[in-house]
Amino acid sequence: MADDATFTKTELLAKLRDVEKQLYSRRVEKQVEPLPLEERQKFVASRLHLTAVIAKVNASLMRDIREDLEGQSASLRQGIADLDGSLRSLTSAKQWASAVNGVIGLLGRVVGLL
Amino acid sequence: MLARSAGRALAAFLAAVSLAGCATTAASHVTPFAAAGTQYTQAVEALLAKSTDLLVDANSRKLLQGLSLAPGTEELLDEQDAAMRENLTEVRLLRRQLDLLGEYFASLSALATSDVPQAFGDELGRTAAALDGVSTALRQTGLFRDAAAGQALVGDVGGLIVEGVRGRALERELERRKATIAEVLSIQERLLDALRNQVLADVEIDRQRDYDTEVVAPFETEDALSGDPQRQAWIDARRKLLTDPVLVEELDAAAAAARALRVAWAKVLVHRLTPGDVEAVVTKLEPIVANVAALEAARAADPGGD
Repeated sequence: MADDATFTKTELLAKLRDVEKQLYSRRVEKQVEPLPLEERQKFVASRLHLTAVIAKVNASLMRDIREDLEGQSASLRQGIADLDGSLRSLTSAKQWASAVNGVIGLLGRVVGLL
Repeated sequence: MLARSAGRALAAFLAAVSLAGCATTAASHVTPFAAAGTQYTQAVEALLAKSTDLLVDANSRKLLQGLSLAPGTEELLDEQDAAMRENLTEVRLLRRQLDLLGEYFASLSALATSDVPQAFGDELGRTAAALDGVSTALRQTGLFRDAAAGQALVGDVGGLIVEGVRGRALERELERRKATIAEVLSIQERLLDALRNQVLADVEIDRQRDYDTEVVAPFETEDALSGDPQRQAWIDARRKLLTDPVLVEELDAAAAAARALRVAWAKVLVHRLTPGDVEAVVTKLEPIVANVAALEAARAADPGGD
């Protein structure tokens, strides 16, 4: 379903962008230039409206992708927590070995005095 | 009694070696993969930032282009601003997701490259030496006939056991996250494809106008291309405007890197990752990283420039 929606938006964007490209071309602008100011204003407003629609569809496509990524984020966060936890456990084991080593070293010096 | 004790020690040693073998395999495959993954996320973040700058700048140029036909109004600007803000919000949220993947690769790398197993073994070796010192002090028989060899053995076995613990943690993580990472990379391919289409459309309008001005107009104008310098400039401009912009090529390369990273991930899961798999990712990202570095160097040299 999500894939269908994304595909539709991608297709829609491609078609709208083709039209937009034509509207911003020198060839079309040359045809608009001789028109009265009111007509030119309408043309510019319509063209910019199309530009805004394209930008909004683009944002919507990005939102779809972002939401799909967010759907995986809980698992990624859990992975980070698990990996960091494993590293902490290993570091803790090394610290215990170091502490035990210190105690035994001290014991050796004390026993040596007996 | 001594033989049974020695047998137990040997069995424990072999078990530790066996576990460490798995651990070394997991760590040796995960380490280069995580490094390539980190490079990938940094490159995609840079491309996302460049694509976004281009999106807003292209929108500004479209607004300015209209001024040659009719004066602008606040309403026209507001409509474009609202659409740009929507895109910028999405980019900001997408960047968080890229950061999260980057953090995951960093944590994976931290565990795989940690020196704790070696350090733990060294500590155990020192503990064995200290124990031997205590036993000598008590005028009992030494723990080992050859004290130095005994300390080394204890240290090695201790290090291998911790290596085994690390290996099991990595294996467990690969198993749990095998579908997640593959899916995230697959979604990111879609993101890079969407960005590519967006960038291509953004530059296409400007390129079309430039092509009309720099290629079509002189070609149709008598004597405009009569001199050698003009002809060479025309040839250069035409080539530049017909080939894909650098950013599009970079996005293509990043999408290819995402695919290569997905393949590499599948191989990490079965311990079949080869240097070539990692190279396939890194070589695709190198030009992007080089361009980003060059851009940052240029910005550092000229902080006030564009």
